Amino acid sequence: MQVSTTNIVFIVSIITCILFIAALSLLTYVRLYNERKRKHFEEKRIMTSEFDKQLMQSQLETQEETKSILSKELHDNIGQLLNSTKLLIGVTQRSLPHAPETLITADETLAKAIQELRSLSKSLDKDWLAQFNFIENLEAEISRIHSARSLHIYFSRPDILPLKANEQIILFRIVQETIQNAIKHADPKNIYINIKEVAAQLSISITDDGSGFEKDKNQNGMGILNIRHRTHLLGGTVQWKSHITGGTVVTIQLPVNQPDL
Amino acid sequence: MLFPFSILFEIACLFLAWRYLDNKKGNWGYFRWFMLLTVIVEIIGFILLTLKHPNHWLYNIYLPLEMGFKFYILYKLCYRLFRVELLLAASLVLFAGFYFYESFSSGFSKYSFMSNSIGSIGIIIICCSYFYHFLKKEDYVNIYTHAPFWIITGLFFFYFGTTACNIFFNYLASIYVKQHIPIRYIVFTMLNFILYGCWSYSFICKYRQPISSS
Repeated sequence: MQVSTTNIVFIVSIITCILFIAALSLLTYVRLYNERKRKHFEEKRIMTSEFDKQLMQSQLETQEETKSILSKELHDNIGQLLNSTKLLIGVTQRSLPHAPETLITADETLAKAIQELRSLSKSLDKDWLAQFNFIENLEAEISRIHSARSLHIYFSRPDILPLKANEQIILFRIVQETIQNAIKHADPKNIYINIKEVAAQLSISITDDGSGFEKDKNQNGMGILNIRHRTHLLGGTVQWKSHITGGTVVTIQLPVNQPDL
Repeated sequence: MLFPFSILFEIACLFLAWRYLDNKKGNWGYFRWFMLLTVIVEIIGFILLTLKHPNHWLYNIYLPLEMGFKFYILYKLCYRLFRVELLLAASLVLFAGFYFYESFSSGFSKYSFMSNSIGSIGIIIICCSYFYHFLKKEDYVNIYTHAPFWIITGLFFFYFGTTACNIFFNYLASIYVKQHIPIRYIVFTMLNFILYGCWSYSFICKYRQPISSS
């Protein structure tokens, strides 16, 4: 059977249209499937991030719980033993007509130790941290350090910190860890803590005039990792700038008015 | 004489290849030379047609170069995604077999449309495999900025769409000579627009992506 010209043109046009539509359908399917994959990928990323956050938070809660137990132990056990010792020294002092100088010095030293232990116990106590105020506690911590070491800490701050109590605890631990790191590794004479709020960001800078550190060598130390994790938990960033010749600046940037942790 | 819109699309694509792939070496850089060759061949082919000289010999010379380049590019774009070697080798062997058969049986005076059809089928199968493996892989890739995706999409549309024209090549040629119905011209103009449009978009994507991934 002879196929007419019109029929061939018609057949070619129809086949081409069908194939074109088929190609277009395949491309649309690829696009839609890929879009679904993007959503799945995004959900997975959010879930992983959420899981990491929860894991970090439970780690911190465990730490806080351990510190709280330690605080109670210090206060109820060692504190009581020291108090009893002080009482006994007092009784001995009163029983002697002329108490020796060493006994008086021992009594004074013991009083200082009890005082230190109380403030240390207080700073570790979780129940006390429930009504936590960052500024008050950091000032108390600074006084504690001032009384124990020949180091001066300058603290500049706003009147109120725009963070929730649980966030203030985490920030307090970050600053505490940073100060401890500086004291332990850099032996500074002065530390400057400056807190300010700029454009919905809380900026905390901790500067010391110590010996500095080699960034590459210390980047994965336990203290630094803790600080990183805690800052990440608050949704912020942390940066270290240090010169081998001396001096370190730790800058923490936190977003304020965040939803509850 | 019908206006050669396809040459305009090719020139535009050549210009974009030269503009956006200028600093790209290797596989992507070859597109500039391939597009230059295509434009030269198309212009000479058009001049020969205008002067009423046969131009099938020219396209017969161009055909293995075109297929060779396209198979090479498909290999480079697909080999990380799946084992494309077997499909490529089979397509190349079949294409070469038909090409030599057509060249020896009818000389260069007739266009080797059978070998072109065989090559087209090979390209369509490789493109479909690419899409399948592209969807199968776990990582998400943004298709709107992924240059290889648009190269393959252009090839797929072009060769899938021209299947009917390839099957009825001889009929359409005689219909055009006798009755001046330019069905093949219309289909090829439309599909060339899609092919070179996709390729041009792909070159822009590649230009915006500083580190090469393929």
